[in-house]
Amino acid sequence: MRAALALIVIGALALVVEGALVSVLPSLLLPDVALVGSVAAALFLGGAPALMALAGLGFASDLLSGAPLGLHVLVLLVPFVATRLANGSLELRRGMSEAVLAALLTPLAGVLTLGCMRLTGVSASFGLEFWLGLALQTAVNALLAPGACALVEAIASATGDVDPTRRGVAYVGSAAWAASRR
Amino acid sequence: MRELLHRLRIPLLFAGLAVLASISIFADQRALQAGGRDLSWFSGSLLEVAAPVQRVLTAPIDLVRGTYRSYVALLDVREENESLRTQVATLQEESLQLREALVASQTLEQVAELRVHLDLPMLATEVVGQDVSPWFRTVVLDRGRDHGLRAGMPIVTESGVVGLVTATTPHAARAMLILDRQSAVDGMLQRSRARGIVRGTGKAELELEFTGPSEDVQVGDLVITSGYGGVYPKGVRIGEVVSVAPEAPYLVRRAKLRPAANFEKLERVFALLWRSPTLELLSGDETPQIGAAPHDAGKVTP
Repeated sequence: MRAALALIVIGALALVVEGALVSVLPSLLLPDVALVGSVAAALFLGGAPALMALAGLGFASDLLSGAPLGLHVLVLLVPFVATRLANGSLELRRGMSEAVLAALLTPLAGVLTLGCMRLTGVSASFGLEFWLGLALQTAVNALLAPGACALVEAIASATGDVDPTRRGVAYVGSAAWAASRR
Repeated sequence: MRELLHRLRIPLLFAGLAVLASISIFADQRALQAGGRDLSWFSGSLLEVAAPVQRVLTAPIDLVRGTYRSYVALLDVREENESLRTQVATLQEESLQLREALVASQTLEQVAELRVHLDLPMLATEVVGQDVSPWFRTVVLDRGRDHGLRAGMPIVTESGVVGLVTATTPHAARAMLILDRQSAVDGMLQRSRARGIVRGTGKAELELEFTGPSEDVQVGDLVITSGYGGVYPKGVRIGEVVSVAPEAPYLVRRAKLRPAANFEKLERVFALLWRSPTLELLSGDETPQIGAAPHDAGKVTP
């Protein structure tokens, strides 16, 4: 749980700094800290600590963004499940894989966020401007994801909160792969 | 049984979190419809920390930006005429100071006019942070409950409506701008007195929804608050009509508005220490009334 708490504190600080940077940079050029953080947590932490980190980052994001309290938590649960399922059968804990994963999950989270907003009665449209903004944020999140994952991995190693259920996935053609085939 | 619970703890935690988030969203929406709410110490602690930190972080950013702009301006003068550089720089500085003095005087005049017009106690407050999500339009203010701010209080500038306070902590507050998609203000055209709902679009413009061909709405019309929405007092500028959708066989027509307040340069704003009777009824807590505001009542606090 120490890793989750550390991640929540670092994530909340990053969100506060982002709040100040918005005065000089467009918000779409700033990474979605809650999404990237929770994906990294899903990859490197155990199930319970990762969910705790997700809840902390989601609520912090809601409080600082003015979103209905709980919206980001609800939305982040979907990328979390997708990451955990994919991580069970694919080797995602590498720089490029992490970037691709973030790039795939950012549009999903964006669509879910807007969808939830519409469900709560807010008039929001999936227009061209929305998709262009989402494309920009996808690129930013993909660039940041490997760094964020490295940070979470370091925190997990330092606190000993590594995922106990994680199985190493053998590369096709490797000795471990051949052994698993026998 | 214990082993089963241990095995199912992740799915149970996941489901619990989903239910908690859904309930929280529902409760938050209800609170927003009732004019916002005061955050608990636990929820508000992040906002309490964020406001001073963001203020400290914004100061060097503004300093660097100001220095850069001054440098660029100076370079332009050099290129224009090397021999007259010193003289031009001096004159420009003088001119700048005069213009600043003029702007400050005009701003003060507008604030005084607003005070007289609204006849409500106001509290000056600084915008110290903006929303971190591209989907919402909110700002963080450096005054909170201890200064008399309450959820549901309108925020204005000398130019017009800015938004309303949606959450407060003892020393900070969050305000939803009228540009936010969740915002809706009951507006009225100053010329024809036609009424409509002004909605935020999430962008730098507003949308006026009014009924059918019977209403007289023209480009250039000034839209003000009607006072019927139960949030804003009557007669505060909202924006100016820049385009009107062509007539169609629908009951509701739309017009685009340019907001009266300058949201690009939102620095100092004024909170009206007042809540409408509707919000008072909905919130049910003790808040300042007209003429019975806290220590800042009756004056614009710098």
